Order: sequence, then structure tokens, then C-alpha cells
Amino acid sequence: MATKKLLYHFNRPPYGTVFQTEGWRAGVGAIAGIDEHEVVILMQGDGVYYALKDADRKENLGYEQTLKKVDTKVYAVSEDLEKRGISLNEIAPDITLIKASETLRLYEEADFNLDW
Amino acid sequence: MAKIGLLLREGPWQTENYKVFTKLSNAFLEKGHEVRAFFYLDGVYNPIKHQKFPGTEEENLPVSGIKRVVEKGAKIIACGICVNGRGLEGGKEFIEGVKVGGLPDFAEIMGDVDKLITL
Repeated sequence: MATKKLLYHFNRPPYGTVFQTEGWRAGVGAIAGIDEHEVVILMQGDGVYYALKDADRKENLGYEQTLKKVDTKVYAVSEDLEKRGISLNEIAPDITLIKASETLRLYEEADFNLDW
Repeated sequence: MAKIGLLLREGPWQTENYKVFTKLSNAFLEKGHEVRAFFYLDGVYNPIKHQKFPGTEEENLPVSGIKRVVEKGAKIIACGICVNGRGLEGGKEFIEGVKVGGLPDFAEIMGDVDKLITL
């Protein structure tokens, strides 16, 4: 038994499948166990659409609030936003932008990474 | 020997993740490694008994592969919310050896294993 650093990367679009919502739910499950794992969220590819400030986040709000209580970091890859024509003023203020090259650090620091 | 965790999220017949799960688990177990798995989302459809598919021998059914790795020692827990959400009534039609639990079990698996593979 040990606390693990977990990188949850959201690669799929937030709507159309349950993966991103279930990723949020599984994130809460990971921090709630005896080991109290540390979760980092990384939105990349089509997963970055969730970073839009007008995105519908109602379904995941409870999970997000729980993860925020333990200072879970939520990143979105800036190049992937740019490729999709999304400008900085369209991003929700609680999402931290990260360059693709800097995501390497997140992968290096993680014990396990899980795609959603 | 290592402890290997596997997360299976896809059901049978739609993708072949169950085949990858079965083959990997067999390989790990034959090498003496420990296998601990969590079936999440549609992954909970894999261990249902009485699967049938035209032209597929029983030994090649998804559930048969799961059954073989359980018999070899794989420990499998299925997400209870996913199970009941799909009308599987607490996994009453699951093969023997597959337990129903929850995300805290998956958290415990991640805390215990040396490697984690997501399918």
C-alpha cells in the first residue's frame, strides 16, 4: 500500500461518451481511498473542449469540487486549444494552461497514468 | 515478482480490449506475477455467464477467457455502480471469482500494484 501520483489525461471530447465524466468520478475515488492518492488532471487533444468557460460542467461539478478541496491541479494543453481555434479569453479561469513540452514533466512525475 | 494492475473499461464484442486483457493476464500469471483487475464502465459486461455468439465456440467466448485467468489466480473486482447501472443486479450472473466492489477498491489496487495498465 502506498500513495501514488496519478496523471488522469482526458483525451476524448467531454461530450458524446461517458469517459471524461467517469474519469472525474474515478479521480474522486482515487483520492478517497485509504492511500489518498494524488491526482493531476491533464486535458489534451479533444479533451480540451472541457476547458471552455462556457462548457457545461454541471454533471461533474461535485467531483470537481471534491478534487479542488485537495488542491488537484487541472491543466489544458495550450497548443491543442490553439489548434482548435480556441483563444485564451475563452478558457475557464480555474484551468491552468500548459505547453505540450511541459507535459513531459507531469508524465515523469506520475507513478501511473490513466487515459479517459 | 511484480504486482500488475489492470483497468478494463470496454465490453465484449464492441472492442477487443477483453482479448488484450485476457492475453496479458495469462502472460503475467504464467510468469508468476500477481494480477489484480478492476472492471469499470462497460468492462463489467465481460464476466457474465451464459454468453453465446453464433459461430463462436464456448472456449473462445470473452467470459471463457476471463474465467481461465480467474482460475489461474487473477483477482477481479467489478464496479458496483456500473454493474447496477447496467441492470446486472449486483453481478448475480457473474462467473465465480469476480467480486463486485467500488472505486475505493480500485484506489486500493493502485496503491498496491507496481504497474498499472488501462484498457
